[in-house]
Amino acid sequence: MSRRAVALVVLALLLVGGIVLSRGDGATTAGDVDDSTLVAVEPANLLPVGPPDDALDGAWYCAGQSSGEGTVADGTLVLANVGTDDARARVTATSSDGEEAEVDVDVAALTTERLALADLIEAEWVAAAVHVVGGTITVEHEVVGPLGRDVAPCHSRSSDRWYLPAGASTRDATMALAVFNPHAGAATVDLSFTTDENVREPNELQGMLVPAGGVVVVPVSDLVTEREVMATTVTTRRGLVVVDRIQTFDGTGAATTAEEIEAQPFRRKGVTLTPAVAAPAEAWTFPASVSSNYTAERVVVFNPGERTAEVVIDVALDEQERYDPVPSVPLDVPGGRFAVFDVRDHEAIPSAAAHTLTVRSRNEVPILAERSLSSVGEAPSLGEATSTGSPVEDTAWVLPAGPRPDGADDARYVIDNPGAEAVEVTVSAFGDGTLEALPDGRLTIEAGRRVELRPDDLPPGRVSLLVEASGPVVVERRLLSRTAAEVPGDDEPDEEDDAEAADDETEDTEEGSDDEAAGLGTSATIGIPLDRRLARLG
Amino acid sequence: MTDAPPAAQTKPAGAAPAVVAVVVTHDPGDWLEECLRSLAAQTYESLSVLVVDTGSAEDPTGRVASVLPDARVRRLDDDPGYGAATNEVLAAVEGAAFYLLCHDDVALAPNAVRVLVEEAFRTNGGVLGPKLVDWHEPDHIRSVGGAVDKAGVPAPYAEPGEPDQEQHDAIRDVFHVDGGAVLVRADLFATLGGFDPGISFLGDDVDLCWRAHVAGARVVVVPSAVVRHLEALGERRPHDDRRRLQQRHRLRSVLSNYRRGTLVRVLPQALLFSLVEALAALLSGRFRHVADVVGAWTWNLRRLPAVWRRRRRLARVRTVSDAEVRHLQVRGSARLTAFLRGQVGGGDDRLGALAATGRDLGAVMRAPLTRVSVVAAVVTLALMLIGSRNLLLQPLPAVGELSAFPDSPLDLLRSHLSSWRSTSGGGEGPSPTGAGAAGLLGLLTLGSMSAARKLAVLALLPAGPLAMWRLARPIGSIRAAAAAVVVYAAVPLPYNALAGGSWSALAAYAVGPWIVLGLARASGLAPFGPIDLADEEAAPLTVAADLPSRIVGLGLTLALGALVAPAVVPLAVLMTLGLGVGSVVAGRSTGVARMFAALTGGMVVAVVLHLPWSASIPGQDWTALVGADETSFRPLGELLRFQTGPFGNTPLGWAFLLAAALPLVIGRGWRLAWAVRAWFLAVASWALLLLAERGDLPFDLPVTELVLVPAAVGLAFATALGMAAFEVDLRHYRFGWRQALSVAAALSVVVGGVTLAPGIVDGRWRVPRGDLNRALAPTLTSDGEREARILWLGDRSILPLGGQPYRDDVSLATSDGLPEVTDRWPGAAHASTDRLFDAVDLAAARRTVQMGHLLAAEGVRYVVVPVRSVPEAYRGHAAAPPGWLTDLLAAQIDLQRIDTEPSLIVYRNVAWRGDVAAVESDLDLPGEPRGATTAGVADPDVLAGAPTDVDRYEVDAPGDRDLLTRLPADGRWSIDVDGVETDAAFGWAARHRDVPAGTATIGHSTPLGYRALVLVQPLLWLAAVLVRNRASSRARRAVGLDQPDPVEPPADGPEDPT
Repeated sequence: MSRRAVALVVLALLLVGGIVLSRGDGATTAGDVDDSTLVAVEPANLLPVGPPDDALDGAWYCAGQSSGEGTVADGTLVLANVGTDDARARVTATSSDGEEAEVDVDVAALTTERLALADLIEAEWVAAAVHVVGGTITVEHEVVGPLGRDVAPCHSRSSDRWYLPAGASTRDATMALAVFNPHAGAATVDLSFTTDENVREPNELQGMLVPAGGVVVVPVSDLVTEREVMATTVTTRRGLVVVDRIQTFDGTGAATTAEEIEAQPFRRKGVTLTPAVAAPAEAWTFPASVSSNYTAERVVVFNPGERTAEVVIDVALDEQERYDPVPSVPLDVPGGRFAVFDVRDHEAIPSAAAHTLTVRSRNEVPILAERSLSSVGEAPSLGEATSTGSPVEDTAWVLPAGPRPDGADDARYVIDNPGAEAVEVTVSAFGDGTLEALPDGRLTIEAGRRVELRPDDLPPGRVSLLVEASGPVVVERRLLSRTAAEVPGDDEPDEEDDAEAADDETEDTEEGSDDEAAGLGTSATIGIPLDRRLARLG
Repeated sequence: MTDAPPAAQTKPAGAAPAVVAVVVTHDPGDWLEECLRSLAAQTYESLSVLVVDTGSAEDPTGRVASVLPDARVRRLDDDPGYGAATNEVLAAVEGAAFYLLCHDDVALAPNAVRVLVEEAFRTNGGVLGPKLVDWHEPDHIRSVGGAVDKAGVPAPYAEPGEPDQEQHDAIRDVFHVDGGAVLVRADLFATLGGFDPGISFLGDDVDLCWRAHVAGARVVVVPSAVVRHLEALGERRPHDDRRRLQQRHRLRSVLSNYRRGTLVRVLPQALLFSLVEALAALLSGRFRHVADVVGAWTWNLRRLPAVWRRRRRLARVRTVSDAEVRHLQVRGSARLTAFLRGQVGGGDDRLGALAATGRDLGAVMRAPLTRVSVVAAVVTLALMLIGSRNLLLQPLPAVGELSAFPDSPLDLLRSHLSSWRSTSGGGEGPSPTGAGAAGLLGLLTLGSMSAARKLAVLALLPAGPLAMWRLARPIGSIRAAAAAVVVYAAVPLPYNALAGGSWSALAAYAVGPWIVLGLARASGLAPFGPIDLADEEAAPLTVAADLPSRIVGLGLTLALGALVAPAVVPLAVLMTLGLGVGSVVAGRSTGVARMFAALTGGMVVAVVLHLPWSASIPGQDWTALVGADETSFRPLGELLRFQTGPFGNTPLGWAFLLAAALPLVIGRGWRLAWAVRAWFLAVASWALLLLAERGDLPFDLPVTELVLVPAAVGLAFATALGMAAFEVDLRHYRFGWRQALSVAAALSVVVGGVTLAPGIVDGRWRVPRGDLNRALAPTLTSDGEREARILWLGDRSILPLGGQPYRDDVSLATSDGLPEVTDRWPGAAHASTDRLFDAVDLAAARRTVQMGHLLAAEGVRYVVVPVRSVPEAYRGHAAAPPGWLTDLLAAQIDLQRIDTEPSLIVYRNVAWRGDVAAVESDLDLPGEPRGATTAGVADPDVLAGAPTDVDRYEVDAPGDRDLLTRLPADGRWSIDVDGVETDAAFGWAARHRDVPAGTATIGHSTPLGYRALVLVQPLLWLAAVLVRNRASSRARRAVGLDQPDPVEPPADGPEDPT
């Protein structure tokens, strides 16, 4: 073979080899302009997350509450230090009038401190920023008002975009958005509301200025009226903010006509405090779900994008041996719209059966979801409980705010194992400087199952809970208030059978059906993950 | 024999008019007798001879008398120059009708004088010149007269060394005749005042003829009169001396002979030509050439009074307008034409060019095709210039690596002399050589940093094709070299690099051909040396210098490239590997070892030339050093067409591959071997990029355009070889598909060149009109801290300065104010770099929301994350920052987001306390930077937000307080308050205790050894250039001396060609 032939053959082989090896998958070129500025949202940015154990400092932002006895949502901060180092928190409260107050709170290791904001400042609306040095502090805020109570995590970060999938402005409801700017520079905010008809963008809520360190509370129900459901989107033109929603129902009912009364027999009553969600995700789970004769369970799925989201709703019943499996419920949500899933409309979901409800997007279109539990009528604890669910799973969760110290409240903690393997779980209580596992706090949860607990025997002072698991779990807490009146009869639920928890509520309701002094105030809250093995929901 | 004035030989009435031959001698060689014998043998009867000796060491009278007993000899004490010596005839001779003005190294055909005199009467010529032929090879022409261009540069009618086939034997008017032997009417010579005595050697003949034209006389070449010419001046004067004299004397003639009105038009053009020539010489490393071009102007400026006198004298005899004279001049630039024809450069004069051109394959060319090729190359370069017009005339944005230059070159030089570097957080380290070079360039442009910057960037564009020309010239075909220029200029690579702001790729594009040329010369392989030369082929054009000088030359090339792009050095390794593998595949591995030896040596030279900066390379991160670019991953099809940006996305991009494939098919001998090497040069580039695409490389690659430079060089060189093979090798094949392929390949070159067209439209090669500096400047200005420290975090492909790699393609960098060229090269990481990394780590791990406090300890005022390479309105390249980065910044409570143009995410650090702040003396600072969040440095009194100078602060100390700075307490920084100096205390930041009130100067002391090394650095470069040039000169002289032995002419002289 001549030299020329050798060279030609070698070059030809190299060329062919190059073509084979080259992926040629259309990689971007320098000249192409990638206009996409969408970035994958870190799991830690999808909901409030506790700081790592070795954090130098941290911050929590509690946007929405009032302060002062008798106000609509008198706020109390609950600071729980789950770490082994003492911490100091500087709480700066800012009223919607621009008034500001500050206090340092020492939170020793494994202790829980409560700070009533009214002790700092009294105002119609107050926001609080908690700057922490040292320790592993998680913060919730508890609001109590004439219409009930609620507890929710504060925000662990600010953002330029917030969503609230549901909300109502019917005649019996007030809905307010607390937009808090904890940063040094002013923020400019746009608010839009997606109703079942269109998108409302009130002029006065476009380019709304939120001063540095200030809070602006928007009375949405005065601006977008008579909407049974509306989704809220908050975006900033500049700056970063945090957003909470304070919703009240006065119990007079939303209906104004006989037809409406027939269609909507519930007369909701209560107050809800719901932190907004910073980003949509493909899956949301609600472990502490229940539906009964007096508790209406409803899920609003909001699709803020442009493509239609092909959604399925899965319901995993507690007593899987007792009931037939519930088939997945498909639900298409067009872009920029929301869809409502009412559990009671689906006969396959048995009444009074506790369950985990999961909302998933099948076509990777990110969505948001919000579940409301409306306990009305003759339920022993009247109230609204809203939750935006959890898009993540983790191996450690904290529930800073426990039952009230006087023990008058009832609490239920649901631990859901969404994984494919059984996990070992330890539930511990802390708050008095010690951390100790609950007597029945060591358990195994099978794959795809949930466990509901009632920590009735918490030692005095240990008001916070730490849930640690060998695998990823999701934790949600429900609080039932009975402080409005003593409920006659045996109101203690059957602790032996978790599956009967929901039935207990029903029984309680039935037993108390003749008693007009039912408890007032319910709450449902996803716990605060500690970012140990935090991951998106699989 | 006497030195008394000779009378013209008296003749009876009706006899031939008297002719006096004036022979000027100076240390004549043994050719003098030959010259005198030819005069003695003249058939013209009325001829007398005057020999004017200009201070020869040995009196030639005896030698003259032995041949011409009747000749007169006039001895001068010294050498006033040829013209002034010849003018002696005006005083020494009376009654002559003609003077025959001769050098002492000419031999006239016996009938030469008679023919010249007859034609003088027949044509009424005032100045007549014979056909000058080579002394040794009388069938090769030296000169048959010529024209000049408007700048006085000669344009000979015959190529020096052109075979004499009587093609120039017509008697015709010319602008000038060669001064070797000239017959001039005596009265005209007297009227003109003889030669210009201010012109010693070279150019005197042109000047005389020019003035003869102005006086209304005809200048005629008479080819039937034949004179052999030795051009012994070429051996008596060094090459560079001749060039210097030519430059000076051409300008002197221009200044002396044009009318004022013409001069006003012509002089700026001449100046422009000179600048272009100087620039071309500068780019090719011929600094003495540059000095000669520039010196010609200063030399004439000093002699303006004498020039003025000559103009007045000429005005008295002027009878013809400049317009009429211009008819005999050529249009355009004869200098440029000569350059393109390979007569400028290494063999930059007609003497040296003679031998070379005789061996040129161009001898077999047909002139029209050559012209087409040359025109194509010129047009391509012109298109390049036209396409850059707006970049030349409008501000050049600081896109990508095209960093802004500071306002003054002195700032750069001061920075270069300091061992304090502000990049990567700040710390001790050597300044990159490129920064110093940019400062020197600023001095050369008389302080215009804008001009210096454009020069540093845009000159690289034409430098590439010019270098390609030099690489392809040894092939021996002007057409081949022209094809190489067309291909190299038309590949999209430089334009994509420019559009993307890749200065390093442009630098590699400019030096790439030089690197290959250096390696090729070192290999000694034909046509760059005698190795691998077929028996039937002529010796190579390129002279063979020794390996050490080649090493120095290659080292200089690498060092020059590394001024901008250190990645040029590993690129040279890639090129050598490609050439080596190609040699093996071609079955001709001889010379490969010399290539690697030259590369190794060249790298050592480059490292030495970049001291002290190169000493820091081991401590530098590879990615930061070579400017790695993660956008390097593209499909093979795009790589083969150089489609790495807005240019190249056309099917025409495949054309060059076809053209380059031709020599593989039809090439023979060394042309085939080099074609294989050239292809493997290209394959090396593509293979490396493919491996990177597959993730098979353990290291990051530089920007894609830079890695593709060997491919561009390989394709252009292969195309040139294809053209040479077309001329030489195709004839060995029967008519068939190869001929058709050759035509297709030639068409491919033209078609490929069309790819340039889109870029010409906007006149800026799609370089964006705005830059990130423009987007950021308003914020800095509104805060009043234009020089405050900025922490840059972001994708390294769009970061406007060099950074240290962090993670996920995110790099970290700092700049004091807007980034400048000194920030281009990040250098080694400092302790402050680690602290910055630590701060970002803490924030990324959500362990702090007060990163601003941590950054304040490092003086960081702003945190900037670029989202695009340029502002959104100018498109450019987008690279969204990773979510963790934007999230961590958004979570910080002491960073305030600022509204800016969307291409930037900018945060203001509200915890900033400046570079120097006054704090209470009892303030308890933490032991490590991460404790800064709890340090309680509340409301510090900011004394300085930025350095007063490169490494110095001047502040007004308030007294009784401590000064806290961001500077390290390493002993190099000290504080001086009204003459009292104190050292800094504390660890990670300097704290000066209880500083008294007064003007405090915080200064950095650079080690003397370092400063000395920096000052020696230019001398090292100068020495390397001198060594390289001397070696080249030696080699050229060796070629000159390697002429065939002189042919002993027959006793009766050459035959009368008539």
